[in-house]
This record gives sequence, C-alpha cells and structure tokens, in this order.
Amino acid sequence: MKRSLFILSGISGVLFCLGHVTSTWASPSDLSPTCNDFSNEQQKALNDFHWNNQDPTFKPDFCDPDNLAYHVAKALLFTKSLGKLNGSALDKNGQGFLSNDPYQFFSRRIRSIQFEPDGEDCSGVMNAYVDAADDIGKSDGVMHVCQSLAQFDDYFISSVLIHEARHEEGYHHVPCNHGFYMAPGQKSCDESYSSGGSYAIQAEYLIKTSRAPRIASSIRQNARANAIELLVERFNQLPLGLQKGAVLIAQGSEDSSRDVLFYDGKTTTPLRPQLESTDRLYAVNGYLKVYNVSTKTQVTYADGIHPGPIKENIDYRGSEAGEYLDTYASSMTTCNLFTHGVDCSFSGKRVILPIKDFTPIGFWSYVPLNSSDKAVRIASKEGRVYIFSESSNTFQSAPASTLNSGDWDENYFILLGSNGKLSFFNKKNRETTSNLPGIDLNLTFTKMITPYYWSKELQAL
Amino acid sequence: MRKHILGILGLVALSAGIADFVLKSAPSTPETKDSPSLTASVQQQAPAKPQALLPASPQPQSPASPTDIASKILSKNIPAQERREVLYQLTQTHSEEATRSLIKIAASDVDARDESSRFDVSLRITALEALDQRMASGEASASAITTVLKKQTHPTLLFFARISLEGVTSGRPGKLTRFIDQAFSEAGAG
Repeated sequence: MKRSLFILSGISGVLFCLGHVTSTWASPSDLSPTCNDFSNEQQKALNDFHWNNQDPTFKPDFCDPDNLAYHVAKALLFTKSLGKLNGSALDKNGQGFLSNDPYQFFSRRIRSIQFEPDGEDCSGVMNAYVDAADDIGKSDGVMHVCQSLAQFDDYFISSVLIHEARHEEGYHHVPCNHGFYMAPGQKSCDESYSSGGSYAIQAEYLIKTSRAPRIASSIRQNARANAIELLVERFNQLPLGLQKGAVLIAQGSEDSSRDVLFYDGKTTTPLRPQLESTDRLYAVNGYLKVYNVSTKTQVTYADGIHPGPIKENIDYRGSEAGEYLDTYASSMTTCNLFTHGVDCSFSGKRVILPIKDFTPIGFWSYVPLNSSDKAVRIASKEGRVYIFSESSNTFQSAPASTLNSGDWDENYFILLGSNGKLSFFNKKNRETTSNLPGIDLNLTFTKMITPYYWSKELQAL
Repeated sequence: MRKHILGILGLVALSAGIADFVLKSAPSTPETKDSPSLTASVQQQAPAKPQALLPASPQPQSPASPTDIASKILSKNIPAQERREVLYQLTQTHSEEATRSLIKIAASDVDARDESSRFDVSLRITALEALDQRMASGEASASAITTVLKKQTHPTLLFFARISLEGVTSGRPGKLTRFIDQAFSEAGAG
C-alpha cells in the first residue's frame, strides 16, 4: 500500500505537514470494531470507518477500558450521541464551523482510523495526527492515533479527533505569540478563532459540549475549563481584546506623581490612578500590588487602587534598613529591598544581607536562563547588577545596562535600560531597536513588569 | 473485561466515599437541570453494568476527608473520568471543608510544559472557577484566591487567579466566571 510520508513540522498534540515524499508501507491489519457492549446502532456507527492497526505489539480490544481501541471507539460514540448541538443558534457573527452535527463533521472528513506504534510519528507529545491536505487540497482521510491518546478522558479524546479532522482540509498552525507554547520553530497556535482552524473547531466543540443539557454535568464542567484554556493559550488573538504587553512606570514629573502605563507594542494606555511618590508598585505572580511606604499599607491594583483585603507582611525594618524601595515575589521567594539592606524568604528560609557598597534602585528583572535559576538580582545606580541566592552571604556583581528585561514575542526581548529608555532586542541578529512604536522618545521609565495581559474590556468586566 | 469490572467497582467505591463526604459536610444543594445527581452522572459514564456487578453487601465506606478528596482528584493513578466526576461533586458541595479542598486543588503544582498535564490543568481551572463563584456568593473570602496566587506557578492558572482577584478587589467578585462567559460569547459558539 502506498502511503504518503510527510516531513513534519511543529507539534502540539497534533501534527501537520509541509511537504512529502512517498514510501511503501506494509498493509495494515484490518479490524472489526466489535464488542458485545455495543448496541446495534453503536456498532453501525463504528462500522462507518475502516479500522486498522500498524502496531505489531498492540492488540486492539474494543471491550477493554485499558485499551486504546476502547477509548477511541467510546470517543466516537460520544460524539455520535451528541447529535445536533445548539440547534441552529450558532452565533451572532455567522460563525459556527462545525455546523450543527460534530459527528457528521468528523465522518465527512475521516474514513479510516489507524493505530500507530510508539516512536517515529507517535513520539513526544503526539497523541493523534493526520496527513494534512496537500497543496491541491487532497487528503487521505486517515486518522492516525497514538497510544498516548488513551490517557485522556473519552469526551476529550473526541475533541482531539475533531481537531485533527480539521487538518484534513489543510488548516495549519502558526507560531504562538504568547504563553509557554511560544518557542522558536514551534507552531502550536492558530492566528485567531475566526480563522476557523483546528483549535477553533475544537474550542467550538468543547464550548457547545459545555452547554449541551443532555451531557453529564461533570463532562460539561470539564469541557468549559478545557475550552477557556484553549481560547487563552492557543490563539494569538486573545479573547476580550486582551493584549500581551508591559506595565511601565513613567518617570515622575515635578509633582512627584508617576503614571502607570500599559504598553502593547503599539500604544500606551494609562492605568489609573497615578502613583504617589510614596507608592511602590510591584507584581506578585502577575498581579499588581502597591505598597505605600508612608502609611505602610498594602493595596491591590486592579482598575483603581482599592483598600485590599490582602495583608502581606512587608517587614519594614525602620532606620536600620533604611527606606523601603521594592518587592520581588515569585512562587517560592519573596524579597523586600531597602536602601541599606535586602530581606528575603526563600521557601521560608530567611536571608538578610546588608547593603553597603552600592546604591540600590530596585530589583532587576530578567529572563532566567533556566528554571533552576533562583537567584535574586538588584539594580544599582552604579550601573551594575548585584546577585545573591539562598546560600549567599555576599553579593556577586556584574555590569548591567538594563534595569528590566522580558521576553516580548518569538523575535524580541524588551529591555528597560538603566537610562530609563525602552528598547527591543532582536533574538536572531542581536540588534537593538530603541525607537519603539507608540513610545514618546522623551519619556523615561523607572520600572517595567512584563509579561502583563490587559484590555479595557477585561478591566470593565 | 475483568479490568472493566474493577474500574466500575472503583468508581462506585470512590463515588460512595464522596457521597458520604457530601452528606456529612454540606448543606444540601438543590438538584437542578444543570446539576444532575451523582447517580445520573455516573451512569452516563458507565451505563452498562454497575448494578449487577456490585457485591451483594457492600462494605461500609469510611468518610472521605477533604484532604482525601483533593488527593484523589489530583492523583494521576485514578482514571480521568473518575477524577472529573469527583471534582464535579466537590464543586456541588458547599462547606468550608469543600472550599479548602478546592483551594488545595487550584493551588497544586502542574507541569506547564507536559502535554499530558492538560487534563490536570483543566481540573485546576474548574476549581478556580468554583472558588470565584464562592467569593461572589460570600461563601469564601479573598484569601482563597490569594492562597492560590502565592502557591501556583502555572502561568495560565495564575492569570485566571489574577482575574478572579481583580473582581474581588474592584467590588465585583465572580469576574473569572464573567470572563469565561464573555470569551465564549465572543467566540460565538455558545
């Protein structure tokens, strides 16, 4: 049997193709998808597909809950049992890629289910794949399923199969512009929901499943969670107009108040209210907080400063430590910086270091080289960064021309220089661009927190 | 087939533990169209034979503590369907113990880069939304979500926790639920 063997590019639980060569494959062993538990109607539905097995070590058993064949069959029967979802009320924008019947959507695109051996195409994160349509729109209608697919919930497997079926029409993924699927050379996202690609189909299917009254509530609940995760992680165009960007604190004017701005790469938007000279803004796991060094109160920062219910223990150490400057917080580490010392808690272990030989400005943010990098860094007026960790009793220092840096997108880092100026750093050609769209060249900034996701719609919600 | 039987028995036993926990710790939650009973929901997962396969005199189940429940939901050794079902029951249970279990689930570690952890992420999102709704109804305080913010490291879960907390601090709790509803509405699929 002739079969196209494609050169593969990009993985995200799916696989798609850029070009192909041909090779000769052994004939798959044909299967009969039978189990006494199946009703006549279910058996008929499963017989809609040609089943075969490419894995000599795998014995498909459609009755065994520990067997991939069982789960794929259950997933298809689940889709079949859904019937029509949401009637004709597709949406207000004329979208609704699945029409009303997801099983029909699937069966019109897929004619054959093929179990694949581990290794080769079924490696890493691959759960299922199709050989996507070629340049002239031809596809072979074969759904290849990997053993790893069996780990998922049957209803979720059905959403993966629907996703893959969309690739049969030639829809490909693109690189992600945000999130942890953003990586060089990795194509793990769709541009937008409205582009109607595989993730859009899967999201629509999950959303409709989450709202289908006939479905078990626990499935609907889980489908809702999976759908919102897809909408936030797998589309470059985020819901509610959300933009990935940076929070910037503009250098104070003569009245010492400072603007807090959101920068999305094109424009800046003021986040109200301004910070007073006694306010210190910092982020805890992406959540903005303000500490007022005068009143020693802690407030949270959302669409304004509200008296917060949160009482963080900022250990203000009085004249011995000097004036409070900044806070650094991650999941395991919390540090407060003062003019004369730094007070840290590393997973509960307290480390206090006096500062004598430099003038601290604030914590220096950076892109960690690896996840084991737990060091804390302090920017100084002397233009050096001072580094210490849980086991340190002294600082190490290194030259630093930036106060803050962050991963902007797949091509650029964003840098805040010690001169208060912003720039983009190209990851490939290692060139710096200082003229940023939407940033007044006269503006200088004292702090940058990135990535930060924001939109007016989210704020008003 | 033997494994199938054992799986069903396991689900029934686990569900019995949950039901016991629910009865002991929670004010009753009215059954609605949107929250069918445990029995109905379980039957949709394993429709064929559970009744016939039950032992004639089931052994009494010890009450499941909230810690036990959270541990079961987080355990990768338990089939996904069972974990999902137990979490659903937990979200329908309205007690301080249940809220503590939800916090534990929402705050627990999950490997962001592990594709197989997608299901685990979805369970934590559900727990987060349940906490968001409890804060909206006054059943839980903001400390529920700040605990999650402090302990969780997964960026998407942190983002959802941030949205939830913003709702509380701006005087409009329930913001995560509104966010999800709005995102679905924009997608036009609902």
